[in-house]
Amino acid sequence: VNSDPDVIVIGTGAGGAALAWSLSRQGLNVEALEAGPRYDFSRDYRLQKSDWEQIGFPEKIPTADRQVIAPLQELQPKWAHLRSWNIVRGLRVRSQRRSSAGGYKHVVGLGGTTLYFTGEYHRINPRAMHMATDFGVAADWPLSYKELEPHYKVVEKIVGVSGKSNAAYQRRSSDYPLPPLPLSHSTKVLKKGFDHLGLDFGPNPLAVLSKAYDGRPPCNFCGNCNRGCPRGDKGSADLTFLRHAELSGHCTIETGAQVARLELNNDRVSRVVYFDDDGRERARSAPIVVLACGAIETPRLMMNSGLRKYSGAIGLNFMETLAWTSVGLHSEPLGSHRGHPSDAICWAFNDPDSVNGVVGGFRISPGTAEANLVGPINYAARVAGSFGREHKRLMRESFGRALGVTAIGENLPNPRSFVDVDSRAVDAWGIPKARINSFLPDSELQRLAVMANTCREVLDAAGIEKLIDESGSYDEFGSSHVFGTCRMGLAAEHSVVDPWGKVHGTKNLYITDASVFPSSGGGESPALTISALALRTAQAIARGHSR
Amino acid sequence: MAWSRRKVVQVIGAILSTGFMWSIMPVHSSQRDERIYTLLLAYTDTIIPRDEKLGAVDLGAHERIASRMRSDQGFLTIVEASLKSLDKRAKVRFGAPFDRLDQQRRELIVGEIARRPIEDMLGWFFNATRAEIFMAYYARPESWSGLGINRPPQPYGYPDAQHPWSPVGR
Repeated sequence: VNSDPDVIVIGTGAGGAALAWSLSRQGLNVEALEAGPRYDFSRDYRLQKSDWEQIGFPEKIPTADRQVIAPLQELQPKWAHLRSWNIVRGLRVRSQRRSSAGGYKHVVGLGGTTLYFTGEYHRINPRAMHMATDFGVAADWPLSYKELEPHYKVVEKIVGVSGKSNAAYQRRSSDYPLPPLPLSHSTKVLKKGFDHLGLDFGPNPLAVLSKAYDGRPPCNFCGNCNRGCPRGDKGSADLTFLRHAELSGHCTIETGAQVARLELNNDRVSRVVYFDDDGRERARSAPIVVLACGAIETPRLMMNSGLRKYSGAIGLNFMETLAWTSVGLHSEPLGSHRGHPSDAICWAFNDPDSVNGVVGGFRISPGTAEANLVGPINYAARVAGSFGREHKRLMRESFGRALGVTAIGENLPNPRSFVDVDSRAVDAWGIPKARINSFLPDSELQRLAVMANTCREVLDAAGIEKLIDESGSYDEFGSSHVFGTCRMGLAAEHSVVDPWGKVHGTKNLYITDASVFPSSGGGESPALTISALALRTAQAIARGHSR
Repeated sequence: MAWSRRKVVQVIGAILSTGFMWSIMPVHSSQRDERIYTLLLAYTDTIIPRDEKLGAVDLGAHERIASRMRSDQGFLTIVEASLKSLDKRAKVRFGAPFDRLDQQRRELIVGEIARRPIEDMLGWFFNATRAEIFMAYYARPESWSGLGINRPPQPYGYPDAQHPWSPVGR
C-alpha cells in the first residue's frame, strides 16, 4: 500500500475509478479503498457453465441486506394498470403495499456496479440540467453541458464506446471511438413497431466493444451483460480506468476495505478509518479524500461520520430508477435471447417536456433481457408454465419468441424520498446501515403510466398480439440507478457539494458519484456522466494540488 | 393404468443411482421414506415427463427437491404431506397409488392441485416444487435440444444474432 498518498478515494465504481485514473496519470499518488473484492472476468463469471441461468450476477458479497428499505406506500386502485404481472405467476406483488423485493441493485467489488451494467453509456440531455429554472422541479445543475462535454469525450475514448456518431438526438463534437454494434434480429423486429409509430429507434451508445480495442476483444452478443462479461469486452471500470491507473504506478488499490467513518479536524478529514480484509481496524490519511460509494452508501458514511453539520441536505432528494417493462410473445421464433440486451434506443420522449401534462422525459430500449427472458429456466417458469406434456409443448413453441421493451424515465425528488441511517440495523462491524425511504407521488406515476402505455403501443405495432409479462416501479422498488442524496449546488443550505464536487464547508473532502446529481435526467444511464463529473473533479483536485 | 415394466425399472434405477436411502430422515431409512421418495420420483416425472427427449427424472431434477428437504424442515413437512395427498387422491379417483398411474392420469391428479392458490398448502407445494424442477432440469444441456439451443451463452456467444433464427434440434 502506498505509504504517502496524495488522494484517498473510497469506492471504485464509475466515479472513483475514473478519478483514480485521471489523478494517477497526472502523477498524483492515489490510494483506492474498495469494500469488495476483485473479480476475475475470465474465472468468476458463469456464462460458460450449463447452470449459468440459476443465478444473476455472481456476487461475492451479498448485497440484498446491506441496506434497509423503510415500509413503502400503499397501492391504489386507480393505478391498477401499473401493477406488475406475469402470465404464469399472476400478480408479482400480492399485497396492497409496494414491495421492496427488487432492492438496491448494485455490486460490491472492484469496479462497482459497472461489473453488472449492460454498458449503456449515455450523455445527459442538456435540457434535463435546468429542471428548476424551466419547470420548477428538482434543481439546476451548477455547470453546463458544455463544461462536461470535453470530459465525456475523454471517458468515451478510455472505455471504448460504440455508437452511431451521426444519429438523431446526439449532442457531440466528435465521433464515437467505435462504430455501433449491429442490431440483433429481434431488435430489428421491434424496430418495425417504432417505425410504424414514427419514432426513431437506432443504435444505443454502449461501453461494449464492436471491435477489438485497448487489448480487449469485441462483443459476441451473448445477451447476458448483467451476469458479468467473461470476455472483457464490456467496459467495466476495473478493466478500463483501474487497469490503466494501476499500470501508471501511481495508484494502489486495497480491496476488502470497509470504511467505517471519516474523522475530521478543523473541517479537514484527518483520518479515514476502515476495517481491512482480516477485520482489523486501520486508518489512512491523505491531503485529499474523495467519496465515491454511490447515492446510498456515500450519505450513509457521511451521516455515520457526523458530517450533517456541513449540510442538512445529506441524504435528501433521493431519486431512483423509474422503469417499466412490457414483454409479449411474437408469432415467429426470433431467437430473442441473442444479441446485446440493449442494442437500440428511442430518445423521442427524452426531453423534459416531451409529453403533454407530464414533466420529465424517458427513453425506450429493448427489454427482453431486462425481463430476464434469455434462458430456458425463466421461459419455463414465466412463459410456458403448466406441467407435463403441455409444458414441454409450450416450451418448444415459445422459446426465443419473447420480445420486450423497457422505458426508463426521469425521477423527480420529493420530501418523502430520502436516505438516512437506521441505528437499529447494523452491519457486521456494528455500523448503522443506510435506510432507503422511497415514495412515488402521482406526478411520478403519471409519467410511469405514459411510459407503460408507450411500451404497449410499440409492442402492438411490432406485431405482438399477446402480452405475457409486465413489471414496473409502481408496485416494486428496484433501483440500480440512484441519485441526488448529496446534491451539487452553490449553497450549503440546499446542497452538499459545490460545482466541483467539494463538500461545502470542508477543506479536503470531495464526492464523485451519482449522489451529486441535482436531477436524474430523462432516463439516461448515469455511468458516463458519473465518470465525466469525476474527471472534472479530478481536474479541480489536480489544480489545487499544483498550486 | 399401471406403469410399464420399463418405467418401473427406470424408477428403481433412479432410486439406486441417486444413492437412496437418501435419508430425508437421516441415520435410518424406513418404508415411509421409501414411499415418499417413490412418490417424489413419480411427481417429478409428471411435471416434466420423458417423451422423445429426456424427462426431469432422467436428469435428476428430483434431487434438487430432495436436497432442499434435507436442509429445510418446513419444506420437508409440506412436500411429504402434499405427496401423500396426491397419493390419496389417486387412490380415491382411480383406485391406484399415484406412482402406479400412467402419465395422463397423474397429470389429472396434479392438475387438481395446480389450480389452487399459492396461499393454499397444495398450491404452494406445486409452485415451489415445479420451480425447483425447472431450475434443475433446464440447467442441464440435455434438456435444451428441443428448444433450439445447444450450449450456454459463452464462450461462443451468438455471432448470428443479427440474422433470423433457425432453431435446430426441435
